[in-house]
Amino acid sequence: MARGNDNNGSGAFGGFGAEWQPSNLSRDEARRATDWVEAKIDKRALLTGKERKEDIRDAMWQLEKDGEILVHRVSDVHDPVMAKTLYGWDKKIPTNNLWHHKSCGQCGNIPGYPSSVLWLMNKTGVTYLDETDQTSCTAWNYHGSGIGNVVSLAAVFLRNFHQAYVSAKSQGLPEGTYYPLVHCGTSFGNYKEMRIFLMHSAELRAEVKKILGKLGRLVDGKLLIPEEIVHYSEWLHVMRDRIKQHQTIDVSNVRATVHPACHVYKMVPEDVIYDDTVLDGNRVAVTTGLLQTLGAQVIDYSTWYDCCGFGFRHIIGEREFTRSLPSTARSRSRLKRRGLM
Amino acid sequence: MQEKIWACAQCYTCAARCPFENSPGGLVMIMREVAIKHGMESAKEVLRPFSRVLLKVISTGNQLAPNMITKEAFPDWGPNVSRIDAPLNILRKAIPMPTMHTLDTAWEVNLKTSVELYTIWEATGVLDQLETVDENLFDVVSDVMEEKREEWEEWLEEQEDEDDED
Repeated sequence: MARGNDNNGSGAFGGFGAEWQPSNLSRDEARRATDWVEAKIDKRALLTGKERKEDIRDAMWQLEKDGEILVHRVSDVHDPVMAKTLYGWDKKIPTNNLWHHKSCGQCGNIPGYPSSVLWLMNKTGVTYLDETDQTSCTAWNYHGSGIGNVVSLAAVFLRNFHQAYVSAKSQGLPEGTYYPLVHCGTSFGNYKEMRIFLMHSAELRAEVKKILGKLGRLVDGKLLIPEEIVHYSEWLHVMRDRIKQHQTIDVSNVRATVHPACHVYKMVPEDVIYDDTVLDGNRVAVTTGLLQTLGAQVIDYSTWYDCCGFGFRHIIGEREFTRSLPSTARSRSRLKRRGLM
Repeated sequence: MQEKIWACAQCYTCAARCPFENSPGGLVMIMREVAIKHGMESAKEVLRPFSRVLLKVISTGNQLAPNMITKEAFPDWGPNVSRIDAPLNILRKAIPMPTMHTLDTAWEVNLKTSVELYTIWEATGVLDQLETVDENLFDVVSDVMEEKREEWEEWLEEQEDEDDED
């Protein structure tokens, strides 16, 4: 039966068109199709085999040279550790003097996430600031609803990162002492996307500059742009050996796998950490690298890049969409076969 | 077509897979903006169940908050809904991060921060877009904004008075 009929005829709103049909492939045909996908789609080469490769940081340094922006650098005070991204480029990950840019989803509903990160920072002697002068990235108000727009998202991004830059002043420390560490995967993807738009569009920079000027959030009359946009999973990745030193529980009998968040690695894929020692460099390295270092049995599965159907608005107002997403069901059955569910 | 653009989960798998580096998800986003700008019925209908999030994000700058998980909001959880019948006040106080001892927002948001956010909404046409899609929600958000701005003005005046006394 066509699944589009499952939704009282309003299939389009339910996420399915009425033309949705089962493929009815034979077992052999299905095997051939799956083999092709696993050989071609399921590898890092899917992303690296493309022609257009641009490191947006080149444009950023040029704009700074032209006197248009100022770059908040990851400097010695942040004890940076180098990591390699998708194309083998360096990414400087700050490990100390961090400004926690919190996640509304995590703080609101799964507070153990941020608490654990801060707990680990206390354990490893890292200095940080957790303050109230920050909003969320508000990307739900764009990707979820279309009510927001690129100018509002870019302004929110630079407002929050400016606050991170000036926050140390209240402690009598120089500006730039604290470097923003982004907790939320969506914020991470959204901010990186906004940085690209800002570097490419003089018109967007002019609009955002007007707004930030009004808020008193320019530095020497310029927009402040972060040298790196860093997610806490990247901090955990470069800290994994130091974290291991505090390990008290043996996890070698635990089988674990990671479903990397779409917004973390697909919105701006070129900035995501890959590591040849983690699943042969074919998967996003963060989190899996930490599990591996702690000694868990890391399990791979081929539909790692599939969407879970969370979809911003869908998980709130249209949860049947998420539940029924074929890729979610497919990933679950693969995980079940590997004894992970 | 205008209905189908709301089915996209914005996961960007399409962009990752496309060998020609197109981003259908990005194009969908542009079409959604057009739908909102023109106040299309499909946009209004699809965003109705999302209004709690819109209210939260535009009025507080937080998109989700602990007190948004209620029995009324999650009827599809069935018997599992009893799990959210928790003493939230105490549970939140138990979190070892004082900035998170909150219920209305995911973390305590500075009043000045909220006021700065309202300036961004106004300057970028976000409030106009909200009014096009949901006039009632726009009215509620406007009231909240006015209230917080007054509160901020009062705080500034108090600070000035204290400075004068010193």
